[in-house]
Amino acid sequence: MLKKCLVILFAVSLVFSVSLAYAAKVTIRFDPWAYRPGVPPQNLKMMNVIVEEYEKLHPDVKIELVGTGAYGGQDYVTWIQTRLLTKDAPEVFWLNFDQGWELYNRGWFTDWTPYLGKPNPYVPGNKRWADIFYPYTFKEVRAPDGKIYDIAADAVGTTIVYNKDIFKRVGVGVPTTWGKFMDTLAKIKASGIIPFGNTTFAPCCPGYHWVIQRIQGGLIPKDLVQQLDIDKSGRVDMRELSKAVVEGVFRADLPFFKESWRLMKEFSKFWPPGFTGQLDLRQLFLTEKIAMYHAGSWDIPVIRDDPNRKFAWGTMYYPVITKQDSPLGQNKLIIEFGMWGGLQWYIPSYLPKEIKDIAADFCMYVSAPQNLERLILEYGGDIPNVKGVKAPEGLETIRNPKGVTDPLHGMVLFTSEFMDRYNREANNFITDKIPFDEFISRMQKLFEDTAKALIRDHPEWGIKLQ
Amino acid sequence: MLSQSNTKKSLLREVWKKKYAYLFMLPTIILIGIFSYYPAFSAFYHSFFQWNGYTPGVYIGWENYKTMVQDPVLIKSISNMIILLIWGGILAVTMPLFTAEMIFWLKSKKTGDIFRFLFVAPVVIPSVVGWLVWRFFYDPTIGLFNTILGWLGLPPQTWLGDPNIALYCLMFLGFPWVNGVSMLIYLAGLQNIPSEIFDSVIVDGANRFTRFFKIDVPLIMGQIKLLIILAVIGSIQGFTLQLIMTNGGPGYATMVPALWMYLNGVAFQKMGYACAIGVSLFIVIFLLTYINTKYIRSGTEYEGS
Repeated sequence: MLKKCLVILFAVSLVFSVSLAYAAKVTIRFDPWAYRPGVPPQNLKMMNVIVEEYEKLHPDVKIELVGTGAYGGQDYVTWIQTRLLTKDAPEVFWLNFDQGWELYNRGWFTDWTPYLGKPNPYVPGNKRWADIFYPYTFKEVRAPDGKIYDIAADAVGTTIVYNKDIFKRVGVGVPTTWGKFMDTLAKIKASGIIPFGNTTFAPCCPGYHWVIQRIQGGLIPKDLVQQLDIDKSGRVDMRELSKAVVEGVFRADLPFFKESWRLMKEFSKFWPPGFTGQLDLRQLFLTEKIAMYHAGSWDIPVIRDDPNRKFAWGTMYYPVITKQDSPLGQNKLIIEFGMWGGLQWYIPSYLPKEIKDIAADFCMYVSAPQNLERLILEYGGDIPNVKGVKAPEGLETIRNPKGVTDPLHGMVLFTSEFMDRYNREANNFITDKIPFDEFISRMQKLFEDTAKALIRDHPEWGIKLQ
Repeated sequence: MLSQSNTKKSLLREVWKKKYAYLFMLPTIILIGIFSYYPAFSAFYHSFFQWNGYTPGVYIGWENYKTMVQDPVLIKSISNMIILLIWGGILAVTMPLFTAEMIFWLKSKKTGDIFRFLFVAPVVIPSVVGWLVWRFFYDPTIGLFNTILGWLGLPPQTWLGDPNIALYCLMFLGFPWVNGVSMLIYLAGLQNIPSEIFDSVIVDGANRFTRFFKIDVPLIMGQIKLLIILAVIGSIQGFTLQLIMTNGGPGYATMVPALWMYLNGVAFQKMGYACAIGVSLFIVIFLLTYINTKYIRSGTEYEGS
């Protein structure tokens, strides 16, 4: 009897496990990054809704939302590299495109190009997935080897947010040129208020490169940009900058570079005390300690929805540098807008093709305008890169077709070591620890060291070191 | 020769006799080997490579060590480390010892217990929390210290944002610098001194200072040595304070070698160079610990004739 029972039990468990194996779903781990549901203060929900809808359409697929929750920064980059090395990264993971540039030659990422040439089944009438995106998206994220490892479904930008009540009290309007901007800052300072928030050690992002890139973008001569931007993508990537540095085309002692730091130092008189330390600028702005600051687009919904804010606020363009402000002024409206949003997707190269196809299919679903718009509008801090998707309110001064982005992107597209040293040397100069000439010579050495190291690491660029 | 061979045999015999004990210890030995010794040897090995930590490295001989000698940031960070090392050493043998002495000589045991609890209780709070509170104290716009300076009619300071004083601000952090665990170690040392010695000191008419320097300090020299070693190791290896409070800045004003090692290894992906810095720090710690144990003698150690 016991023997019979055991045989039956064995047979039942065998049938059960086989049927379970057949019924098993394919799991795609997806990192929703800033769109992660349930994270305060916004407590977003939409990503869960999109996932549920997709799973209904594809009962054999399970989408699992994963990630570290550590928004950006070195800890995340270390985490994802370790996961990639152990072949345990999410099937769709987040990474800034420039961080991807530092790693692409390790062969960890899938080139999206074949998928971009296929139709997106969730967009009626679409023949090539790539067609639903604005063309600038691919210009910007394309790696120096010409491949696209990153699908950037949205973008971020920075702008100046200002306290309208303080402006009214002091009796100043929104300045449009650099000279008027300096006058406005001086008047606000005279009234006893810190005019402008900037810091080099912000919890999120270093402040210097945001400011200096606006200034450099307003000063860099057009013919130099044409000389540097070999592939005419509109921005100078690490390969182009390295080449220009070793060939002596780009130097720290170029007049526009030196002038940018002269203006920067003049500007620093209006920054908060201790700007070289760590400051929470958004908090200082919300508590009316500073009249304005250089905010990221992701700050906008937080400022807008802050229940304790007691003042009116607005956003403004960075003032234009005219010839009257500086002999090198290019009279250009510089906007800061780039592919660093919360919806950037990479697929590990080691995955089997069937899994890659499913992961790509889910990304196609999320990027379809009817789905992306719901995500973008709920979050409110990013700008869509898909045509026909509405941008959230309050981000008008970040994306303006009449504005141009700084082709150098404040050098942020070089390497993370370069950025770290760049900011520290800038600190040394602005706090008078080193004289101007010493600063320029250190910058030149930094450019040369970085360019040479990059060229040595990337023999495929075909740039020869003399 | 015969005697050496006999000793070897008897050692092996002893090991064989206690084979089960060694067998039980084996998992621990293996785990220590994998997680403690292997990374250390790996760091030494990779210090001779140009290595990003993820892909195979390229052998470059002593190049990383040569780079270290010419690295101005590392040199600057060493001078910061020496200042912090001296300060850490001074703090290890002053404030906790002073506090332990005061508690030890309290007449009421109950009051002593209360003070001991009050000094040790903050140990349960993660140090990061304390540092974040101190960062608020130092905040130049809304911080406590500038508010106090304002009340006194003194000009505000930028504290951690000022490259000239940022390092001293980090040193001041944690005032009055009474480490609860160190204080307990000293207290335990004082409680171990036989009461007859104190009685004889009283009979001899020595005052408190004489007793402190001639009796207490020599007899708790073991504890002092231990805490100096721990302070040396902490000062050389530690970088979380700098990472959280200043990221080594402004500029490189508060940079220390361990933070530079971390930045090179993790942020800049120069793991080979970071390994070379790590190996050098190990050698420095080893030498300082050796000097400490060899040349600072404990009062309870006696030489045989």
